[in-house]
Amino acid sequence: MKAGRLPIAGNRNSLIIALVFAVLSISLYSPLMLWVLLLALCAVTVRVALYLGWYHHAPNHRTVNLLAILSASTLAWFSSELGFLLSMVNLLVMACSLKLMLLKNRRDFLQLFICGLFILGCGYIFTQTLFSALFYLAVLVALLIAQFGAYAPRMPLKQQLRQLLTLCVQASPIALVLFIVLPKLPPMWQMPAAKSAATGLSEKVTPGDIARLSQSSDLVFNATFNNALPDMKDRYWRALTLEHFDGKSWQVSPLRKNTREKQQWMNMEFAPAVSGPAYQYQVIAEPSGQRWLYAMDLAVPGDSASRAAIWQSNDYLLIAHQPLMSKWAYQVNSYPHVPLNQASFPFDQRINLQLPDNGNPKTRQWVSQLRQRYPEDGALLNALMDHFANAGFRYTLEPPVMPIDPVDTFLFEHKSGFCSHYASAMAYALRLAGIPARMVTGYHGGSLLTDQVLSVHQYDAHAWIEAHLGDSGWVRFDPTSVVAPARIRFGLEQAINESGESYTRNPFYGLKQFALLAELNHLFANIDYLWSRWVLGFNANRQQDLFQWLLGSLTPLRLTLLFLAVLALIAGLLALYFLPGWRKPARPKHVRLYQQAEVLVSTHTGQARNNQPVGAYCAKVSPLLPETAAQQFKTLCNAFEVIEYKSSPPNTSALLAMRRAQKKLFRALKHSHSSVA
Amino acid sequence: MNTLKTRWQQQSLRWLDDRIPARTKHTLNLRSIFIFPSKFGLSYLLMCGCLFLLGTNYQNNLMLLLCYFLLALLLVCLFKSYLNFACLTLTVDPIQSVFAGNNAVLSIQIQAANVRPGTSGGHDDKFPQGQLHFRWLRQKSMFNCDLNQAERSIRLPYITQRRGVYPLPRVTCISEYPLGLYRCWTHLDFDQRLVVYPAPVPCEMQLESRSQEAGKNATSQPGHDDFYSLRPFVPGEPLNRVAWKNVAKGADWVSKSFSQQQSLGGFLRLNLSSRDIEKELGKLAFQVLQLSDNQVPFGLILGSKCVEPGSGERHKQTCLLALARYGTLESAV
Repeated sequence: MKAGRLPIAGNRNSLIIALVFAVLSISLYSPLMLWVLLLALCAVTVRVALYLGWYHHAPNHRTVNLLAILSASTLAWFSSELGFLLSMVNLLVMACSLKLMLLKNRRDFLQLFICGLFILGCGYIFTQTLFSALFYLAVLVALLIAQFGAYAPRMPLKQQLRQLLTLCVQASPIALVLFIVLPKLPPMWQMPAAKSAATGLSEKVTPGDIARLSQSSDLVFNATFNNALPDMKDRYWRALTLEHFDGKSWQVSPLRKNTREKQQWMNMEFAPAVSGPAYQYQVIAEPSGQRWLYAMDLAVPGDSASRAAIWQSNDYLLIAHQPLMSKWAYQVNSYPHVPLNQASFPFDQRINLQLPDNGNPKTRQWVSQLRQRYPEDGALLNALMDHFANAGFRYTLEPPVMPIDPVDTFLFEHKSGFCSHYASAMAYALRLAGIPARMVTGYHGGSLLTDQVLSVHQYDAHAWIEAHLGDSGWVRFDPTSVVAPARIRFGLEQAINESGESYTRNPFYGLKQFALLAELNHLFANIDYLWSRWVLGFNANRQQDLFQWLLGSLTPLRLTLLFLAVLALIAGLLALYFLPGWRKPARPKHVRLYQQAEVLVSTHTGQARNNQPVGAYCAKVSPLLPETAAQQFKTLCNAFEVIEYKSSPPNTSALLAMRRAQKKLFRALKHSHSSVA
Repeated sequence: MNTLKTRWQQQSLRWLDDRIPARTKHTLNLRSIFIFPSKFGLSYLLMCGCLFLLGTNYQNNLMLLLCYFLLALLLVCLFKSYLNFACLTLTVDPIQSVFAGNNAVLSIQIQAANVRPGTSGGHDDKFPQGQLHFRWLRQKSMFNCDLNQAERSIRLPYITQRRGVYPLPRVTCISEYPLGLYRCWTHLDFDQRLVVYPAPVPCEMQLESRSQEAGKNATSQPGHDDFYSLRPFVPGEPLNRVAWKNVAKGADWVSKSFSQQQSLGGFLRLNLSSRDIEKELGKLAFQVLQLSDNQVPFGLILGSKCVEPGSGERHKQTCLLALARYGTLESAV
């Protein structure tokens, strides 16, 4: 039995498992390499051909082994390029397709089933939307049907499906209880990350090289506020500080990175003192493959779970211990009035006065002139901002390319660009003037999803600068705000409208064309938000909140009681499903019809049946009933007797007659009641 | 090592005798059912463990949810598996005796324990579902019965080698419905004794007459069943007269006729001086069959045991039984 051979042609279960495998592989098209996908589809084609009987012999072992060696070496060749995770997924799918070609006996089938389940689980690494969850649920049911069919091969498909769905429905509440109650453990070890997943901001910005800012309408994160929301103009979501400038590009300072790693190793976390009013919010970040998080200044993790998973860096960033491979929720408190002056100044100064040795001569000259005119830092800053506001600068998403001396070209030639051009030029100018300055990238703004929820998308990406001004520490300046005030006050959409650029290229095109579409879009965004918040974002912290809400306080005794109650709940569910005699045995239809009529007649006449035969009882009560009712009751009784004693297969016409008679009887008795009354 | 194994087997058999006593009709219940995750179930569990690790390390709630769902399914299947198996009732038809070397067949009827026989429909949910596997205890070859078929019975062949009277070994009945995660099994003793007759060995007739038996001066006489001729088969004739060899060759049906169909009869005697007693017993079995076919009355002397002369089907069975039992412990009974 264990090694029992499966019939090849016409084996429905093999076909179903092959088709499920095809659907799974296609759904994984992005992590899979094309040739692996093709191999999988070939294997499925072989199976389908075998099922239909076009072809009678499965490929033999030698062929498949050769193919295995070939594919394995190809995969090994590509593996360094793919990274560990993707290689493993590719390997799994490849092995399954080869197994599928060889599928001959029960054992192969079971192995395929197990691998199929695992691949299905891996699918959730790459996508976690509600839609994909439902999709994989359907695939799971199909996979289970194949497995079910292997153990009840002669059962009709419809019945198999019914039995299986019953099992699944019975299992789901238990699964849900386990999901809610079982402790949410922190990651046990660092998992390999998919390389291709990194999206959004990057650690290096080269304003001069970009001809057009590619912007997508992908969601970056949702922030749910516990209290009031900040004003639009104050919504600066810090993600990265770029402190190293080489004349063209800004990037994360290697020195900063180094120091951060050392501090992490020595567990010397930066802990700024905070006070005053704070915005409290939960951020549900979309997977980015990166470790930096989004928060407004001055941000500290809002609860113990977030604190455990987040590292606070000296440049006021929040950095996750694990890259964001899936949606992740964290709690933040932001203290807008606390100055950023708590990090070690000498270190910040050393990094942030760094300058390239040469290049951009015009800017150098211009800044030294400015410095002579405005020896005071504040005055110089004002002068620079004034310059951006009044010297004819233009905000555009499609700036010309500036390959040589980009700051000179931008400041004195084109005078058009987007946020990072302005930030780059201003930070460079400040450094030339001897004021420590750095570029900060992140997001600005966000649209309201609901009253308490802000959605921030990729097109909200923004860059601004910070200058270190004595005791105030790092102070934010945003040159874009004076060039294109609409960008800061109302968001990118308004800014584009004002700049008069073509509408087709911007990410809002199409979405807002029709009210209905916009409405639907908003609805989906809402559903997605709820899904993220309550299912994907259900972490240890939320679990604790839930327990606290349930129990009041989390004493060991109460927790023990809770877990006992959960065990009892599961046992109760199982008893409900499986204890015999719990459900009343279903009585046949005609008996039910008769009993209903009998109850009515006995209340009307005051004569209980007391186990008399049906016919005798009918004769007894007939004189006490109104004439029509008596007649109908007689018909009903006769039909009952026919069904109960005469016909062995259920007599549908008699049943129909019974039903009709019962209806008429009810009507007659009701009528007589009302007339008596 | 080997003795340890046999001792363990004996011990477990004794324990089984205690736990599931022999009966011709078994209704499976908590006492008689064993249930344990199958090998596949264990690897399923292992896979769930891997999913849990992956889900935890990626902090991926959907993966965890999938893992918990699969675990819950495992739990639900435990009960489903058990209940499906527990509503079985197995009965056997009395087993027919066979000649050594032939297969005895144990026919097992499968019913639902809790469903009235008239009401169980073909695809009733209450009726046990899925495949049942049967095999003899500690034997490899497996026989399947699909409960979703109309025919809910199984014929289990038992290979015999030596004559004798044997209690049939226990029958192992296995079900892995619904998902193969659990293996429900039981070892049932149907309280059957299988009589295996000695395999007939063709030989000369050696029927001693009664007088000679009394005179104790036995010499063999030519047999009384000399084959005489073939004649066309007349419908209604006993089928054991039909010359099957001819029929099998495709010729017309013919009957054998014998020169002396009505004989006075005599005794068959076991030649105790022969070296190969088993062969002698085989010869006797052959003769018993021949004589019974020809309806010649005869008796049987096996050492100290004697069967009085007679004829007919019952007499044949008695003689063959005596042959089967000869020299075994049960011959004293």
